[in-house]
Amino acid sequence: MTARSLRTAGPCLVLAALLGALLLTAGAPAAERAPARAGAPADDSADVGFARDMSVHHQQAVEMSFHLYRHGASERLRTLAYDIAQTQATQRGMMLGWLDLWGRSASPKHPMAWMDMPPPSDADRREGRLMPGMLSRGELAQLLDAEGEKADVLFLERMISHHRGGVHMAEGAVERAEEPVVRRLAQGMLDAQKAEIDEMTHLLRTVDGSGGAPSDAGHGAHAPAPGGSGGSGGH
Amino acid sequence: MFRVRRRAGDPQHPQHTGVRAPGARRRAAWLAVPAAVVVLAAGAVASATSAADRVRGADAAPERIDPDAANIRGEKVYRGLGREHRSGRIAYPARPVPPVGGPHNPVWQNADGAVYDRPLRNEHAVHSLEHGTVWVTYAPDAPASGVRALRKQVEGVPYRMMSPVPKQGAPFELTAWGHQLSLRSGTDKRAAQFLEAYTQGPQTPEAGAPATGGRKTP
Repeated sequence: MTARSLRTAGPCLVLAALLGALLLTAGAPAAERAPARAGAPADDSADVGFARDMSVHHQQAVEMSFHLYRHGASERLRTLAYDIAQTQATQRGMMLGWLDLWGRSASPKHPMAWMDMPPPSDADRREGRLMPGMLSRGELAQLLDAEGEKADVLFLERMISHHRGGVHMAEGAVERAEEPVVRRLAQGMLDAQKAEIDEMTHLLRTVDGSGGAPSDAGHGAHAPAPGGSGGSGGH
Repeated sequence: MFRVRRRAGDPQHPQHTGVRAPGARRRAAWLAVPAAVVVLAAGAVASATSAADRVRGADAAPERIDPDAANIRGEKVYRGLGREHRSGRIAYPARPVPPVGGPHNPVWQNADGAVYDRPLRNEHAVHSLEHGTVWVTYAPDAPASGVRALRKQVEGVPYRMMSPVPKQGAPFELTAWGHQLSLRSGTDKRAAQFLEAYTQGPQTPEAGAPATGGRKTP
């Protein structure tokens, strides 16, 4: 670049720089705002939306499971509840950790918007039914009120539909999320929850089939149902 | 594009014959134009991003919340709050009302988007604050439209709860651990900002702690 061309280019650059700076400051947001961590998924991304919404969804499953673990009758079901509670509480922690690292809030601002689903209705919102498969306040209260076999049956029914909602959300994340860590966890969730749905469906059928007495081993001294599955001791 | 003005007789004057090749000016233009475009484009992109943030952002909290600062206009910050568990009645300071933190009962108040119709016991509510809850309270004379507007933002959202108080400094108070915002109007846009900033926010002393499984009733 010759000295002469610099003299022509110089003022042009200065002007352009000034204009650029002007645009930058004109567009600058209020003093308190600072950008989220560089490279973090956008606030309206599937990654962030899934982490927010699934954390809420998981927390309800944890609460349901804690109750069943404490108050349920079936040993097998209480073990399943323990599994669900531990797993989903841990996963929720992972997702909240991601949000923290990404500099994104944990609040579900627009539930399910990341999956192009409509927002929960006012009624659903009031009832705490923010994501698919979630229990309303009334349904949850009903479960938390139940003990023994009644809790077993209610838990199975509610958790099956809760899981179905979860599977739907996890499938959405696998399709739409961009962070490999998010897709990986979502895939794991949907695989596990699908298997659990099968297990719970089987258990529910067994409970209904033998007139209310779950036919799993280790249930203890329970008189066999009249005309039911024959000898005691089960299998 | 600027043209540097030169007097006649100046060896660099365009009319001056001889030395200056016609390509020199073209070369300058080739350098200056792309440079200008790049700078302008960068400015435009940055401003468009910020403007988009701002358009979205009228009701939104700042992106990064500083747990030790007043992030929302008009908010008050409190420090040096204890965290011990204590049974029975606890004498919270006369101000602020409601309390923003400090020692509390071992049992937290359920805050799963709960809207209570009677005043809560501070000892339980403060524990909820420790778990990341934003607690919205309204005075007896608070306008009903404001109560309704806030209620809509609390209902069903985990780590938010709402309750009446017999007496407080403003019609509405929004409280998080160590942070409080007094509002005259329940439709003030800062309510949404505060709620978004502090619900399970970075001010939470005990991240990951539950909003359910505690005390169900006022």
